[in-house]
Amino acid sequence: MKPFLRLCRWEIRHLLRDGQAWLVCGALFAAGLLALWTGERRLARHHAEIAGLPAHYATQMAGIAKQFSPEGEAGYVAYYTFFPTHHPLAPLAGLAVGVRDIVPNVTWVRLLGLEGQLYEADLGNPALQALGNFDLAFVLCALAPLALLVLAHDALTRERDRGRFPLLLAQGGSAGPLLAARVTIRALAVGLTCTLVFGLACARLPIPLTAEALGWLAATWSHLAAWAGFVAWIAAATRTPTASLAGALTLWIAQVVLLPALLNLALATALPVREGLELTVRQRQESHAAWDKPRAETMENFFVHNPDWSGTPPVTGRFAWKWYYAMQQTGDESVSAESAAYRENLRARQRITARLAWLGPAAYAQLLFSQRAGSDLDAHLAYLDRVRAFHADLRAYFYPMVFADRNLTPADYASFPQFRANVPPPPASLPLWPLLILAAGSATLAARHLRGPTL
Amino acid sequence: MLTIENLTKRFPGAAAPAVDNLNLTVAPGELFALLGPNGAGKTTTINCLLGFLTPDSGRALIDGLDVAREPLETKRRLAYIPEQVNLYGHFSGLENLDYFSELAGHRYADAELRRFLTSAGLQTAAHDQRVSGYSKGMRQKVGIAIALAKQAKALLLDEPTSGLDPSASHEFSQLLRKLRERDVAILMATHDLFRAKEDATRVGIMRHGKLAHILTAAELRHTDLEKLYLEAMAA
Repeated sequence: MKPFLRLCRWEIRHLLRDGQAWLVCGALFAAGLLALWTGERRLARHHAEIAGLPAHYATQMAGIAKQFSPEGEAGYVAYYTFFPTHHPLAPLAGLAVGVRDIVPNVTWVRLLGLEGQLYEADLGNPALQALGNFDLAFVLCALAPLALLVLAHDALTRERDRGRFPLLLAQGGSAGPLLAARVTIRALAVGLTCTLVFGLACARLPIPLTAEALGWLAATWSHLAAWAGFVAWIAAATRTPTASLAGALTLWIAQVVLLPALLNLALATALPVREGLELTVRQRQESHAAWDKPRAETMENFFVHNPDWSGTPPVTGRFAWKWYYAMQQTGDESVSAESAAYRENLRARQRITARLAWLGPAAYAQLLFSQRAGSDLDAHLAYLDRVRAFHADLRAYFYPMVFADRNLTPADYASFPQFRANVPPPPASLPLWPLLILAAGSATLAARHLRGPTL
Repeated sequence: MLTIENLTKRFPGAAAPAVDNLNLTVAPGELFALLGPNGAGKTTTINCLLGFLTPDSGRALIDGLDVAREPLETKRRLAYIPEQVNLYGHFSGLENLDYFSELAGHRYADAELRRFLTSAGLQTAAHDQRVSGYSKGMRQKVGIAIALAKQAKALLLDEPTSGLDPSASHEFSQLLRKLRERDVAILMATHDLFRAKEDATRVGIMRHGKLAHILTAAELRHTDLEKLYLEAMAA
């Protein structure tokens, strides 16, 4: 057996006899189970919400059929018809909430102006949002590194403190392999605990063993590798257990708390985005201003961007549905530039976050996990794009009838467009190499500290 | 086997060097006892030989190899017993010996390990007990077993008999004699004048980082070592 493997074998024996290690891994495992349980409940709630949509829609349509029997104006029927759309749950969605707690999983849209409808959302419990969510991604990004830091920060300083270091070094080995074996075995213990929780998640939720699931595991281990490098660096660079502990806690707070907050602040300053609410208000103001304008002016404005309908019969009387929807659509069109900028800025934020997050493995891992769980900002923006496309389908379906002043019978309702939640394949996932480079870089720093006499 | 040439080591902030231009040689089969008060430089000398401290000038050689240049190779040729042998409390004496021996690159069968522990004077019943329940003397004996198991050509002892009862101390003397017969070079820092006179082939009295006196075995027989020691300290 190679000397390093022999060292590792002894480190396993050390670890198995170490009550503190059992306690730390046990607590991590328990936190993982709790995250799994909350994830399972959240998934069940979301699944139930999505599964209930057809029944809600059917009830609604029965009511509309009753109201507009034997027939009703197409514009009138469309006004009262809410169409359900939903963001389906990826297999890993139970493990990483991502942004899904602050954005809706289900959006009911009507033929009216779209912008306002996109940003209407119900919050289950706003108090919980301030606190953040407890999910497996949080356990892996914040608690697993903490467990590793607790187990290995004093890998060498504990030996110094207890007076064993001279005898250890005098035996002929150097501190480097000893530290490497110690950190490796402790990282393996933490990694196996995380993997065990993930295995239970796969069995229970259930999660098929797809490339995404394996990618989750690879991200878990790469993230831990980066922290193993960090902890080796702290263990090598400090001389007393107190200094090691202070270093470990400082690093954890900097990586898990400060860096994400700073990144957020920097992005919010560099790339300000208008709130969705602001877009809603602008769109409504534009739309409703039309009540006080001549109908013909609104229609002219509408025909500029929608010339296909310019040949339809003119608006007559005090109210016409074609005018009403034209007014709604011009409202959307008046904020289309801002809406595109809003989306583009959000995407840019996501891109820059992905580019900068490698500075902190916890922030980067959070991105990796939410990406694989389909709960990141990109996935939400892609869902909004699908809702936007569906709304365009609604207009394409209803406008010929609305602009031709046609009536609909309940028999026509079956042909109404339905949202199809066909999720496009996830974009190419973020690479793992930034985490591995962090691991190698900090391990190199650790090795530099152990050159020369280390007593 | 152990050679110290013009070795000087000064600690930052200290007025005088801890070891001051020291020259010393310990040949195979020889036991050199370093006497001296606390702070005389005995442990610093041993730490320079172990490569734990880098000398400011001069050099320490083990078996002709410079410690500063080949720290790992020279450590392989040395065994070391510190004043306080601190072990892993969650391992038994046998497991500690096994672990430290593997660190030194030796793999022994269970029976061989037990033989080393017995040679070091540790009673058989204690071999498999956790070290957390050991007395200081028992831990010291495991330390001796670790040094024996290393089968090194040179042995560095820093107050090795502190904590040993008189009979264990006597057994330790017997052990040192056997090691000398196997041509092991031994450097022992000690406060125990009686043991130094009994066991050493040469005795050096250290003061302010220098060797104030060196006595050979023949000289030791006719010298009142305690008187000489006290005179050296008073000078």
